[in-house]
Amino acid sequence: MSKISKSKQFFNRELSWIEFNRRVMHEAFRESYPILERFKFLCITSSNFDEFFMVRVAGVKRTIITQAEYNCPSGISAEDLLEKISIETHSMVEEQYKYLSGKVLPQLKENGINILNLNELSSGDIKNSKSLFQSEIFSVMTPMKAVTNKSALNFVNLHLYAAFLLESEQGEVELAVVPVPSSLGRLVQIPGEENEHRFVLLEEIIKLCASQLFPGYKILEYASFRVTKDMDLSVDEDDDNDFLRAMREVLIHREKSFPIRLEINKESSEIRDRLIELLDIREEEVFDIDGILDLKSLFSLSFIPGFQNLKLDSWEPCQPRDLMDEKDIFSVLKERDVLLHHPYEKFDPVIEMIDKASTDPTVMAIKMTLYRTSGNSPIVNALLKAALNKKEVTVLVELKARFDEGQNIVWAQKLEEVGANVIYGVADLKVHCKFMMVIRKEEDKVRRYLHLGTGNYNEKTAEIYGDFGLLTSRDDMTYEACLFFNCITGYSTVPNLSMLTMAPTMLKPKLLSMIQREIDIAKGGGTAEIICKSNSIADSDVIKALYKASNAGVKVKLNVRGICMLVPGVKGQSENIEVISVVGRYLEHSRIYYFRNNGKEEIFLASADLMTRNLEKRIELMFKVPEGEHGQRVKEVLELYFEDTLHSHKLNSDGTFSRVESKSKKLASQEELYNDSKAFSKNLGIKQGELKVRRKK
Amino acid sequence: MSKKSSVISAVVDIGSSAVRMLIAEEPDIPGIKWRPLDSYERKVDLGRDVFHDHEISREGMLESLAILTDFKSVLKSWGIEASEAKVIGTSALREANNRDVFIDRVFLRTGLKIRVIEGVEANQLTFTAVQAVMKESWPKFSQANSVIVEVSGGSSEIMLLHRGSVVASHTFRMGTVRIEQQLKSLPGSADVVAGIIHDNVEATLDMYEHEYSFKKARFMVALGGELRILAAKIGTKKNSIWEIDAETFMEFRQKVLDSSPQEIAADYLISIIDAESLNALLTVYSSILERTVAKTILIPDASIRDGVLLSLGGKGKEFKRKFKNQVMASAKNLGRKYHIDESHSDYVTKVSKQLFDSLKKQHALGDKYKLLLEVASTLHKVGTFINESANHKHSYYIIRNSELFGLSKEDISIISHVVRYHRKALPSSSHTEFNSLDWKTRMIIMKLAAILRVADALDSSYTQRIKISRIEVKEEKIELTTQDVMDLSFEKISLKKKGDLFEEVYGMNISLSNRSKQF
Repeated sequence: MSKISKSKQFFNRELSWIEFNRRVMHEAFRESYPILERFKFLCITSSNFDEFFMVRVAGVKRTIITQAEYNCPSGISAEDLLEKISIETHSMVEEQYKYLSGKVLPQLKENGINILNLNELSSGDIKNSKSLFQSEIFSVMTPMKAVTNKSALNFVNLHLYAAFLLESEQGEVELAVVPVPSSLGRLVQIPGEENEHRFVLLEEIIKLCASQLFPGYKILEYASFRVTKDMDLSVDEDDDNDFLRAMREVLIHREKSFPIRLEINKESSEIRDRLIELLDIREEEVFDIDGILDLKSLFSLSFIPGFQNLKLDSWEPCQPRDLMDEKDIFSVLKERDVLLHHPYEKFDPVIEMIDKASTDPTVMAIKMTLYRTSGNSPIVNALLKAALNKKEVTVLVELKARFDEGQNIVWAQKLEEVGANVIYGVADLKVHCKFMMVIRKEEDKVRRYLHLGTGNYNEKTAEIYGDFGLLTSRDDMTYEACLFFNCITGYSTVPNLSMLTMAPTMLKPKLLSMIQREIDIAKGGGTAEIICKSNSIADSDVIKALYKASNAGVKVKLNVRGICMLVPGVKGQSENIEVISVVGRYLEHSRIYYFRNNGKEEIFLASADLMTRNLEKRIELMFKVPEGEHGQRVKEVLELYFEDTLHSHKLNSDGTFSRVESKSKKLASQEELYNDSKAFSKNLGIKQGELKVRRKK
Repeated sequence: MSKKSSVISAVVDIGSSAVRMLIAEEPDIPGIKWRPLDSYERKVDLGRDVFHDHEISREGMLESLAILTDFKSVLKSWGIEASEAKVIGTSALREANNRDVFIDRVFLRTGLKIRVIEGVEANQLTFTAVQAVMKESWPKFSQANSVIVEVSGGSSEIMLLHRGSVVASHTFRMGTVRIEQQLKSLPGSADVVAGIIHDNVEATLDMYEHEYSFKKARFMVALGGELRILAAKIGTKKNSIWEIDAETFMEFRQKVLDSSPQEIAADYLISIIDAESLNALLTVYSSILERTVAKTILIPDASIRDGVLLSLGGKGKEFKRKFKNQVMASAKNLGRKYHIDESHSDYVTKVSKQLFDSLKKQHALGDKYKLLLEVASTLHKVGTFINESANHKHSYYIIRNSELFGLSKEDISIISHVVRYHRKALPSSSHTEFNSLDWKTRMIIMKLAAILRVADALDSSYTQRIKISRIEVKEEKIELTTQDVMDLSFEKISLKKKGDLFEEVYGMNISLSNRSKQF
């Protein structure tokens, strides 16, 4: 393999991620999609870029600033990479806005959703806008004049600002900046005809009324802008006597970190120049936006009430097929396992389970990990209730879940106040596994009910992320789960497990050994195959092992939604490896690992991606899907994606993706999965030909 | 709800390298024994302190306290009071000079009451656990000759089984922590030192060969967490028991000898610390394995904590019966080693038991003491192996210095004293060993010795000709009746001679008469 150049062995992860976001953006270009859906994909593209810049690009820049070594197996240097990122992202943003203003906004307008410029407003509209400014906006505004280098550091990350070039009566020209209040909606609705929704952007109204903000000044020029800063700061884990405090300090510190991107609309070159100087930012870090900034904040427009014809049919999550009879979840689990496939199937059973447990007198304890959960989370509420009811509640809260820290600290403290045992993560390791257990002291014996999954305990994301969850009360599995939880909560040492595999200790070795097993089988003439579904593949040991497998003749099929550093289809390296990526209305989030094992198939679900950070820097869990019905079902789902001819993209050996298409067959995997769940839930109650007949006794 | 719910219990075990806790329940399901609910392990190197300085260090004490405080909160979550948990301390605590301070501090801080258990008692608990696990997968085990070995931080425990019964059990002060310390303190290359340790282990085993032929052992059962980790790498699992075949094991042993701990850690995905202790561990196991005819090493998931659990609760009855059989088997084996007259000793044992039962009201001693009396009766003549003259003193000395499976040091002290006073002089103020015992123990010894003296007197002919058919306990006397018509004068004389202690302790005369039914 040494003959193959480094760049042919690995793709750079940042560039691979940009390709992923390009696939997301291209979803917006699908003519077959209704217009609000396409608008939504443009917003997601922007939102993705926001996080990418403040974490990933900032990281690369920091290695340059601190002169740290940049180790990419593809051999690219940090400087070259930063330049490439700049070129690729600039061209993408240009394409994105061209499409937004050329196609999407006009079509929205045609359909009665109109975002107006100031010059499109009628005199009546102007009057309305001005009075709105007086009554609602003016009071919450805090203009900032005479901006200096120092105060520029205080620009809040990703916050939208309106900038004005002012001239005083003495003729001095200065720059003033006003944060666009985030407490008010970005889109301000103004009266229109029936069936017409007319909006003005909040910053446009501020621009309209700016003279009130700066009495005595003449407004020369105007622009809106946004600064992205380095947010990838980590906590000093050695000083973790008070981890909560340390975490809060990080949150405060973040606001003062270095800028990484300036987005500014193309209205004033003078303001642009001044900002560049103030922020000490390089030209290639400036994005001149031809249109609306911060599309993320317009995301909610895609959920505007009505306009069904502009949206995709809504897919209501169905009753899970394993829970068709309306039995109590605990009684069901006493008899059998339950497999849940979200968002095709409801997430409710998981919440119900915790909620029921909170008041159930037989429940002794609830143990769970919380990584990212929603704002007013019903899960957190149920846990609060349980703790108040004197259940032993132990929650491992991962404060390091990026950008959710502030929110997490609040409810974690609330839980502690009512007597729950809250553990704030594990030093140096992010706890990323999804684990929930209810322990009941039942009449005959103690039973443990376990939920393990690939997705977070977040009922909101459970409606848009594709994830699997397994519920079981199997003794062997739940016992090991106990040992695992004792370990991650600091009550016990790392256990020896056989049903569960835990990172960072055993997960990577186990995956590597299973890949090796397929290699040995292939060499011995047996049937060997590996199929993986993961959000990302970025661990070079795993990639090298897969190359070795390919060279040994093992068929390898990978379904990777995001980053893929593996280069497929290279002779002598990876000609037996096929990589696809599926981008659909749901975010592909489940991690599934399948090994043919010469006919003794094994299929696993995991919280971990095939990335070094997941395998070595996080606490993760992988578990085997029990053979039989559930194993079969997960395998069918895994294979279905490779049949997709509408939303699947194939990775080429040059790093580009091509859409997988077929003239004869049209198959969208997510739709197929949804229809399948729906068909099941329609048969509700009538199972295997037995009807419930009411009869006089 | 009239139905009783399951019982949840906890066992905490303070060992030489870790503190462990097992939570288990005895479900209300017939036939189902203890079922583990949760288990905890936290490393703390008490052994390193104790085997070197003979004391638990301040750090070790604080660390243990922190762990036990955590464990206490876990106990609470399972609805168990600290006072209800069974807390045992093994080798490190046993040898620590400051153990009383440790026990007291733990109690004051957590309410946990630690009981330090002796090596042999520990063995018995472990054996019980092994037996319970093996019963299911290896039914033959209960009838076979086998060896059970556990190498821990401070010591190695070895149990030798003849037809499923423990006939000898030993604790030798050779554990991984101790060996490592020796490795560090001894001069010379690692190979030379490993050789010295190997020779040491071999010499110890040679000694055991005198009482048990390892060649007969068809099974070798090995215990301990480290070995389970190893088994997961080089063994296979059948019905919850790991198996490593002897050949694979010896190959692995060679590999460990030939490689550095770092290499082993990388090749077998184990921690460096585990890899470092492998050499010591494998030396002991392989030396034993080579002496047996076992083709595989069996590694059941059984620990001393399981043994403690099995001795608890409603299902403890079966445990007690089995335990008693084990103790007697090991006592008999010791007796055989000293060529005792088994018929005499069986007779004396039988009569002692009869007397003990008839005098329940008078002595008010529990079943445990009946067992001690049985052992004493079985072994009262071992001293004749040395010399007929003063045989009671020789017996005392032999028993005192023997390991009897399942019995604690205190138990053995009682037995040896009972034997000491089975003939000749009665306890006196000049007997320092006896007088150093507390009053309660002295009373127990006298009550039991009084019975043994009588039972022994009844077979002063060594022919077992007198069958006691009835024992009648009256206010001031006890009447023994035999139905065989014969001349009883010989026995009557010795009864008169040896019934002295009985009269003193129980305040009763003993009479022996023969009364045929015809009369």
